[in-house]
Amino acid sequence: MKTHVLIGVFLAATNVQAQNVLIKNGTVLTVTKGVMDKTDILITNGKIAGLEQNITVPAGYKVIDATGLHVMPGIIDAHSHIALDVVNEATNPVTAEVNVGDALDPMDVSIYRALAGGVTVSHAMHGSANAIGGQCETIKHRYGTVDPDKLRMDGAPRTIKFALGENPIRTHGEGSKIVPNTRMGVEQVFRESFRQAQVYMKDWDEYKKGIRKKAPDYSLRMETLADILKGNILIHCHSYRADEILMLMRVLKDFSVPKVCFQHVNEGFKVAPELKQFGASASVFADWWAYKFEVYYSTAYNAAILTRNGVTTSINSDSEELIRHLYHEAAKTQRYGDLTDEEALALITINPAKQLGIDNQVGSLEIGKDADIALFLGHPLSVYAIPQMTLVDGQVLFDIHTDPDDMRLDINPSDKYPAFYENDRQWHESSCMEGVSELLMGESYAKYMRFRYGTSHSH
Amino acid sequence: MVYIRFFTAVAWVLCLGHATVVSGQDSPKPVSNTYFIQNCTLISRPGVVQPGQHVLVRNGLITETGPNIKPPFDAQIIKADSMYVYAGFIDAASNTGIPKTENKDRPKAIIPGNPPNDVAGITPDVLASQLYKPADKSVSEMRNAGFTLSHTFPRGLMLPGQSAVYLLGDGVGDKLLLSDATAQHFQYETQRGVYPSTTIGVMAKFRDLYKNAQLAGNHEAMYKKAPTGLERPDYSRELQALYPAATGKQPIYVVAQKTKDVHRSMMLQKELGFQLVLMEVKQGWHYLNEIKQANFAVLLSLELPEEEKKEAKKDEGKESKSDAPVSSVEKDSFNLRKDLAVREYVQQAAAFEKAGIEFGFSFLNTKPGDARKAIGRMIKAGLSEKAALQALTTYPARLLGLASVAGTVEKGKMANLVLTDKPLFDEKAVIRMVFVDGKKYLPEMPVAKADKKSEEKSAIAGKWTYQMEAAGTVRRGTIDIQRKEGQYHIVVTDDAQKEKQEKARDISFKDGNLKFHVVTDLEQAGKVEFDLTFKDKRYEGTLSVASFGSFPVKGERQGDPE
Amino acid sequence: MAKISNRFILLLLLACSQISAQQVKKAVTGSFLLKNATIHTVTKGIVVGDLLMRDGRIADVGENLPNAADVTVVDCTGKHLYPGMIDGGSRLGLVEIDAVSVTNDFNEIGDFVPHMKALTAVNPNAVAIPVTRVNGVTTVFAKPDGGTFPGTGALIDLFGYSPEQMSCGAEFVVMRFPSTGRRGRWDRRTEEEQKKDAEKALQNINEIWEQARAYSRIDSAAAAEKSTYLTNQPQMDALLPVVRGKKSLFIEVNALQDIEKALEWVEKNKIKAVFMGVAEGWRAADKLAKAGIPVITGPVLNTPRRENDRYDAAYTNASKMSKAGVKVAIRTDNAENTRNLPFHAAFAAAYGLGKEEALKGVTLYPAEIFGVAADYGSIEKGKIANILVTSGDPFETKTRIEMLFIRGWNVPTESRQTLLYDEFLQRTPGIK
Repeated sequence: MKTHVLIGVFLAATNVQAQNVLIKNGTVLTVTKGVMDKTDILITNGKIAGLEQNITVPAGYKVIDATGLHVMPGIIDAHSHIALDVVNEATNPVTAEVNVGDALDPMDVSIYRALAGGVTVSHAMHGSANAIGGQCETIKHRYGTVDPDKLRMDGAPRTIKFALGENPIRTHGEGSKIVPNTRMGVEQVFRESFRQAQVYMKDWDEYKKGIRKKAPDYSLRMETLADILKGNILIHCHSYRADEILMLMRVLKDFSVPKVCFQHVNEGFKVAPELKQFGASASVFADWWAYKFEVYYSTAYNAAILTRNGVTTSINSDSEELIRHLYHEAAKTQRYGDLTDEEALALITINPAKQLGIDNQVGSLEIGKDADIALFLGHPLSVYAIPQMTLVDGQVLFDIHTDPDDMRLDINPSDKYPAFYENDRQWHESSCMEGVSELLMGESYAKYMRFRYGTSHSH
Repeated sequence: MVYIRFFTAVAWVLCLGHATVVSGQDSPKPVSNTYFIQNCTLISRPGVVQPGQHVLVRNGLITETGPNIKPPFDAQIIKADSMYVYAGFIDAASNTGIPKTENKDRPKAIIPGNPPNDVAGITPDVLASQLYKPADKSVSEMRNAGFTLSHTFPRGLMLPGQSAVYLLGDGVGDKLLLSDATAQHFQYETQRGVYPSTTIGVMAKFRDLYKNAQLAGNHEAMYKKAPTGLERPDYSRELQALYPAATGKQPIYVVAQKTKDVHRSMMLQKELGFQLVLMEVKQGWHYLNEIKQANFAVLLSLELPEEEKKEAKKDEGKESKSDAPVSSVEKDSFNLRKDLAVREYVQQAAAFEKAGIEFGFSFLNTKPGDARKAIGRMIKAGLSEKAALQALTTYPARLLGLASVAGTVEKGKMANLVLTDKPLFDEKAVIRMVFVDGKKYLPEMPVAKADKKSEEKSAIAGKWTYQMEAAGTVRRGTIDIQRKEGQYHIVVTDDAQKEKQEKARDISFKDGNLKFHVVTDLEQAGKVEFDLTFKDKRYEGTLSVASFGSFPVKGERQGDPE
Repeated sequence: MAKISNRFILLLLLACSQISAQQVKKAVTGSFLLKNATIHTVTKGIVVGDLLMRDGRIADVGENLPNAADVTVVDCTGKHLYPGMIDGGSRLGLVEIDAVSVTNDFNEIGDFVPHMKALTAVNPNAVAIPVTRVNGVTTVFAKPDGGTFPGTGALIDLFGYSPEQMSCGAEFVVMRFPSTGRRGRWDRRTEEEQKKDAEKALQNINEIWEQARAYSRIDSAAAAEKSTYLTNQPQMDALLPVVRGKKSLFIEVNALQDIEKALEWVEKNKIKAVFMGVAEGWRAADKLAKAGIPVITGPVLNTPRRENDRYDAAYTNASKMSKAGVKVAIRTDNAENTRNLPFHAAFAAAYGLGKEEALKGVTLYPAEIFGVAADYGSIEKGKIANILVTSGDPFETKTRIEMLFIRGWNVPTESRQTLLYDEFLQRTPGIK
């Protein structure tokens, strides 16, 4: 009985728009402005309105006692695939026209589990099957709504997924026997696509000027590529090896695309000076490596090397599991590379915010920013830290003490009981390559299936 | 008076056999196209119930209704004293009459990223009217369930093609066509392995096709006016077919079962501006405001989740190993949430009504025969009978632009009628007769399966006499009971009319109690129900005729048991 | 700011040049006296004192131990000593690169191959081994995986140049109990089909077991008659010690229903068993405790297995089982990131298990479960010298493992990952 009453309350709570809250007396890790002891945070209409000691409670404000707690900005994950019904449209090497924003799943319980790890914003990405994948959606973890539109973060720039190396090669070259089958091919896919988009723009231009009477074919794919060339869409590129990272930067330079964030970028440390020079940023794993050949020469010191070389770096999850403890992932840079607390916290707050173009709204505790806030018992960089409460726009959407166990929003009415999943082996990149058929995945996936589940599932 | 009427009723069932019988395979053509439905309870439109009405049907039209009209000389009179007459139901969207095709494997040689349109499930040029087969089983299934008009779509994937509205008669297909190329059909279903293979691919492709259909259509129009100096339009049957929908002239029926599909479909509509009809909606209650404001047409699904059967009390306290994967406490809280979820689905229709949104039903995934059961559950969950009837009649009539000729029982409309023996939403109501386009059809009754537990060799198999007394008259005859392949077959023969054998329907036999009924096809259609209790070589029981009451009947075995 | 960073870089450059001037670092052995350290013995509390290592073993632990001539003295003031951590289940050494199938040596063809020995395939030079040990994990149970009886796992120390040098002498047959769970989102079997598959698999196991018992009987009878039963039954030979109750069978089992079935099966067949995985052990904690079956659970850093489970179900699992009286060891069930064992233990600790039990879960308990507690699992006189010298709590993320001793060898805290750091922190040449 308790369960559904609480769910009811929970759902009702998220429908309230304006949030007025006072978080009292916490140790505030602002990320950008140092640590403030015993400080209060005033939240008015979901925005941070005050940040100082001893703020008197204004009338009508909800008070959260943060005595003994650490208060940090909501964690931002620059690479995830939660809250999505579809990750990969893996049938073509270029699918710029598709948009995972069309397939948002606000009822994915992974959103709640991410909140329970202090994560308030994530970058819901298309997968890495295609050289030019689909457009992505920056979402706020407003769990409790069934309306996909409520997840979208207003003001977040458009982003798109690119991918280099093994995944597009395996999917299309090995899988469908078409370009790209090598890293040479991947480069040409970009160059050809961009040139095609230039021609497309020219054709439409001529039509609009009346030079041509017949409208060219409309192509959402070309429209999107044109928007990339115009600088209206940020590229987030799945990448691993140093050579391919350099390749993409050369291509982008040739087509005057100014910005790129490399994702995973396991060998980014090898070309950190080049990344810095281009102005590219990097979003990395804390320590994932060796799950495939192109990440064999990796190091957990990647984030530290990139940071020390002046590259804006973030740590991401790419996983519904990892997203629950990004604070711990960030802390690993203190074991592997001695980053300071502020540097380590920046990896999961202000830096990913910069990479997503939302650092004016989130990513630090500053007056005027969104009240996306995570409260921890213990310092968030301690392995023993336990998230206590997470707020999005001032709304408490995770509370360790009052939330019921079962937080599903969408109940399958024909379920006997939720199934048990034997997913004990964390299959790296499973989400990045989600939706790519076993046939297209080629040998390694089939091998994995064979390993895990006997011969019956290999193809 | 009562006595005479009763006698007539029983008499023609058992003795005064008529030329047309239900099981007759070579039905003679009707002697007249004029029918006079006499003294029925008429539900001329949802919410309007009038007893003591007559309905005159002539040449496919309803020519008169009212309490005071007289039957013309050429009318076949249908005595409908105990009957309820409704407008024939209209199926707002289905695949009725479209034969199922085998799923073709995709050709191996195709490049997955750029398959031909037909492989990708993009066939907006296909017309249901090219595929419709009136002899398809789905047509009679619809008709048996009281439907007289179907709005039918081709089967397929993303864009299966354009619909047509058919009268559910059994004549030549083309002659039954009411409206062709009525609507486009769009769903998020894909051919796996080729583009577009996912929901996001489908949506992107839809946008492309929609805009290109507009461009191509506009250019073609321009070219037609003055071709000189213009580039020749590229011919594309798909884009040409989409042009009416892409210019708002033809509605697009979008399959939107779950809440996210509903949202997606409304999002596309907002972007592109087409005429949206949401169909197969199962979980649409989250968007009542949006749907109402935008005035989208809505067709709800009749596929409702099963209600969890409550476990028997005796299991309580026992630790069940395999069925309950978790402790009983967890299971309870799970079941509670599940029950609430099921309730939400069942209450959907009521929620739409309460929000003031009219709706119909669609039948892509529901058998028409199950419709009334599902609607019954919706009514129990708060839906008004009026709204339910609207969903079956007036709403789809309006949606299909047929409100002036269908959807109500009114003078001048097509003679599409449903006759039931009890009010429509009564659980026990049986559809006795259906008129399509003025032609009379008798629904085939389902043959009930006998209790599986009873043995193949039944104790009651064999020949039995019967003797019934009604109002001082005694009649005798035989009842022949056979059991084949787990089912009973019973034939009733009256001694005075031995050439007329009536086959029994809805047979059930349990614990010595045999029930069945015999259906007649005469002026006064009705069912004669037998309820017999067997003991050794004898039986006793009752025989009832709708609204006349029950009368004793008894008999004994002839010869040895089989 | 610029000044500081310049100075920093200068320092780094200095450090780098020193490193590059060195030859490859090698492990050294001998006698070591670790002086004045905070010693976390696991079994006998925390003491401040000295630890003497000799001949690969802990020769003594105490205050002011005497300094002999051949002994290398290490001042450990302010440092902490811990026993090396043991991962109760890993594929470390059996796989080099996950996706490159020819480097995967943990999954032989066949559903019934208990005779496949992990120890044979352990690659002492696997790049992931140094990567793992520098985080304080010195011993792992390297286990095959795949079918119902994928093979025999081996407990190995993470230093040595041959499997023999690494082996701890403890090998156990692994079994995957038939699962009724779903294998992934693509697994579209109905509940009935899942159940049926599992039942069929269990039936198969029962047949195997019947054969194994028969084989054991014949083998014993042959021995009694002093004759040899010459046969080619390597699978059955591998199962003999289990059938005879001399060795534990290590059973992978996770879903509640499967755990219950496995408990029945183990009891019926009178098998000494260790359960591995046990993801839903929290739902059967009392039953596990009652059966007295020890558990190697993990990964702790994992998502809940059912949609409606609390978000921290995997974090709290170890604690709930432990509180019910189950002996709980912790594993990563990983390969290249076996190095994260301390963090898995730490999350279990934070979510109810407590630091002390969590530490035991990666030291003493696995040593006991694998039957090697005489040599492993605590800092006690006579045990093998697998010792960590740390700057603090080895579970805490920022703690560093400053020195590493495996079997008394002082192993450099270096791996390819640290070498890449050294090389690339300040790449030369840089951009030009």
